[in-house]
Amino acid sequence: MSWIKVFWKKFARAIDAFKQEEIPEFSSLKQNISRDKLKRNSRILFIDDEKIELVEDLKKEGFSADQDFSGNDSLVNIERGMFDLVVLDFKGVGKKYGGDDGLSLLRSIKRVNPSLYVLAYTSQNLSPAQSSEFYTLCDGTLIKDIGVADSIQRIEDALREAAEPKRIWQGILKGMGVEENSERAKELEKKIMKAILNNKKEEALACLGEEKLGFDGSLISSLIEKLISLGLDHLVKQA
Amino acid sequence: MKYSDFVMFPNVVLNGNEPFHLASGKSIEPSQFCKKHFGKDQSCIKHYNSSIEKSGWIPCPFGYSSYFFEIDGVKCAVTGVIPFPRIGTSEERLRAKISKEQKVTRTAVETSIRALNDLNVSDKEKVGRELSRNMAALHEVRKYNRNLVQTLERYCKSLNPQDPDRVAPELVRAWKLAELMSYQFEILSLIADENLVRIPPKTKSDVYKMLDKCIRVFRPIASDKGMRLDISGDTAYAIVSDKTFPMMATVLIENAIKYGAKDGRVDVNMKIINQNKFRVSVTNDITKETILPKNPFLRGARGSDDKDGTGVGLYLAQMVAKQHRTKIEFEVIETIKDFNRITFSFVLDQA
Repeated sequence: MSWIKVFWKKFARAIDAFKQEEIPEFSSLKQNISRDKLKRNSRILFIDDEKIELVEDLKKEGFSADQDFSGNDSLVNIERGMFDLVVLDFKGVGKKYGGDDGLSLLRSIKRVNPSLYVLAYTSQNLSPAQSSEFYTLCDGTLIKDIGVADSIQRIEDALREAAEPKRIWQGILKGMGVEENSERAKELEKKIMKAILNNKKEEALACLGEEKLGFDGSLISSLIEKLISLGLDHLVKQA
Repeated sequence: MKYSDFVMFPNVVLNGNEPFHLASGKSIEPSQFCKKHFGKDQSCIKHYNSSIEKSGWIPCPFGYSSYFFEIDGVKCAVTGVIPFPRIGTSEERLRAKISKEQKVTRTAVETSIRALNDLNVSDKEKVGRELSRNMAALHEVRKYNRNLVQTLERYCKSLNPQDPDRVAPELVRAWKLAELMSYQFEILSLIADENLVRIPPKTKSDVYKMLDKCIRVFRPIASDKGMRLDISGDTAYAIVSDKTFPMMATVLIENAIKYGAKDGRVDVNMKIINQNKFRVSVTNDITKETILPKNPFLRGARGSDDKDGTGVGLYLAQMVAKQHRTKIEFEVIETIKDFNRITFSFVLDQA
């Protein structure tokens, strides 16, 4: 009977090991990406009705930055997840989306791509109601009349925050309409993390294949691509 | 405590010697009795000190009564009156026989104070609206200032790409002054829209770096007064509102320079207290003669007569501190040297 006991012990140990397989959670990781990689992998969009020289400064620094003067043409690309950061003016933009200028556009942006990082970029004084909503919906502020180096630094900080795995993961879940702390979310997280560890985008996307995507599937695809492109070698466990 | 520490009805709030006209039309003459006795008699001082904890009708030791209340955080008092219904002390009974002209109904005083409060609120709203209108006009000026800041910075950088701060001092000075103007515009926009301090902070920010930046901007101003402006300590991150938080540092550093002793020192320090918290402090020298208001965070409390302060800086900074779930505190340390030292500090949660 002793060999049965030995076998059972070994089997139980193997089961335990399988159960305890350590797959990190997105919330336990933080990115440690180099400045060069951040520049290479990030796309910035300025939405402002007047020419912003800072866009050229950013390009000279090696960032990929564009400007949309009306905000009317970018929403489709925003929905597809083509930008990592939007720097949004208030006055004179987004007229197509409602009477509240930049605020109307911001509401639309947050509807189609809730996890997109948006910096408020206006020196206008807004009405109390508008300012409350505008600054609450935005993820931060880029003060319009600060210096060039400070502006670039603020943008870089925003890009780093936008590239936090936890934030991207929350964006994926929101896009799929899955509750953040639900069992389904935990299950998906394990599967996708495994696929990312194996550097397999198709496998990661396949995990989501059966899910009914709440949004345009290209947003989820782009967010997954972003997680993979950041690479787990740049993701370090938080102390 | 001095008589002037209080805004006293009926004589002071209504500007000088005008009597206080109640809603009922009755007018009460300024209490000469209070003016004469205040600060000289211990029991009188004790009576006014009690207003720190209490509000409403409180009998004074000389048989009069005071009504303590606040308007916009400023302590006020109606003093030297005999209210009806009476409080019921024996001193009051005697006083009522002598000073018939000081008798007044409680309701009349309370209604008038409510009216004043309403007036103050609508006045604040009016100021906000006016300022908001002016800010729209200032928007153009802000645009020019942005061009000035960024053009000067680009030019300085073209002269010395490694360290643009080290080119012709006049050029750097012009650049930093233009940057300083941006800070001032941010303060104005906060006065015009106090709603901004109600937006929850959400940006992770390197606070040391932000303070260091502020110091570089203010250094030319400090050096004009022969002051040394330095930063030291630990690096720490906090979740802040990047729209309002820099204003806290701006006000504290600017005040340290403005009210600091000539040829003195301003030290900005960051110290990690424990795993969760850190303290930011701004310390400067002040002359031995400097007298500080009891609560410099009240609107208008530190609006100096001889300096170009508006008296709203610390008031706004304290509001921003509240937005970040902290409080600015201050402490004066007396030294045996030529100057005393004053420290304004606040504690933040580490992110």
